[in-house]
Amino acid sequence: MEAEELLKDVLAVTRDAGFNRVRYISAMMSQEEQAEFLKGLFNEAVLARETKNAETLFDFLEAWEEKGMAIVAGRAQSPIELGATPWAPLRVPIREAKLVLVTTGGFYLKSQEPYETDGPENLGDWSFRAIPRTASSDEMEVAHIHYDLSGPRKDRNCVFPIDRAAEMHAEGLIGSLNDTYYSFMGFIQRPELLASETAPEVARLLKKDGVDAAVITAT
Amino acid sequence: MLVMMNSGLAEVMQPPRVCRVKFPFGRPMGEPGNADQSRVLLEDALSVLETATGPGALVHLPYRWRREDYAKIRRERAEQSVRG
Repeated sequence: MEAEELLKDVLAVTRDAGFNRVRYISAMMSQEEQAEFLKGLFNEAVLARETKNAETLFDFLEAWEEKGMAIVAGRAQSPIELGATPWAPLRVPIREAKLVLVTTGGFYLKSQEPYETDGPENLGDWSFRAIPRTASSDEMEVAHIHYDLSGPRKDRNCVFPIDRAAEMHAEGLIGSLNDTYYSFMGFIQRPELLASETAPEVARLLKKDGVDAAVITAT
Repeated sequence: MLVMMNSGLAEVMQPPRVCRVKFPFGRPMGEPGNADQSRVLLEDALSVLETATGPGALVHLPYRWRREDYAKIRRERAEQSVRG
């Protein structure tokens, strides 16, 4: 079997597991690099078994993940014109601040329309959903075809830390929580419409609600 | 404050404040069912939000996937806060 095919097999199992970022090795790296990865993986596996210690194997995988991510980043270009990085200083400490949670994880209420995970012509979906802070997990669903949803379906906090924010607020560590949180679904092939329409709309709503700080989680 | 996996993309997108995690895609706050982990991550994000002094703040969180004891990290933080 060609190294490339073998690697595809090896990496196919990682979609919903740790180290799923190693998939960039087969997508982005040269055959020489792929062979180097496989050779190293085998060596590390042997070592891990002999020493009954997988730490260096994990380190090896993480190092290759980093290599793959660096290649992706090197090829990435912003699809839209970006000005200088915006900056809004935090006006009050977090203990006094009003916090909102925002995610690109594709959350919505079962009573709302789901996202167009592919969308017409595979353009994705740049709309957002307003999620009441008090919505229970049972009232929520998640739609996204570009990451493994078993995690957020089991525990939303691994993507959207709603319950952790509530706990920190109850402990007096966060001043207050906005009544409404927001979710997008991160597969968006028309980012210019996100930038010109839906993101400014959420920003306007947050401003209206007097929000001081936002934690945005990307998947 | 943005929590994401890929710091290279953060450099392209240039958000004002980023916490970068070395976790699998789709798990920015860690493993499902690990409340201590998502709590530590949220505390870290808020701490960076509070302490960042200018645009482009990028903090690499050190946690290794499934190789950290978050309950212990929380105990240590609680002790530290008592000592003040």
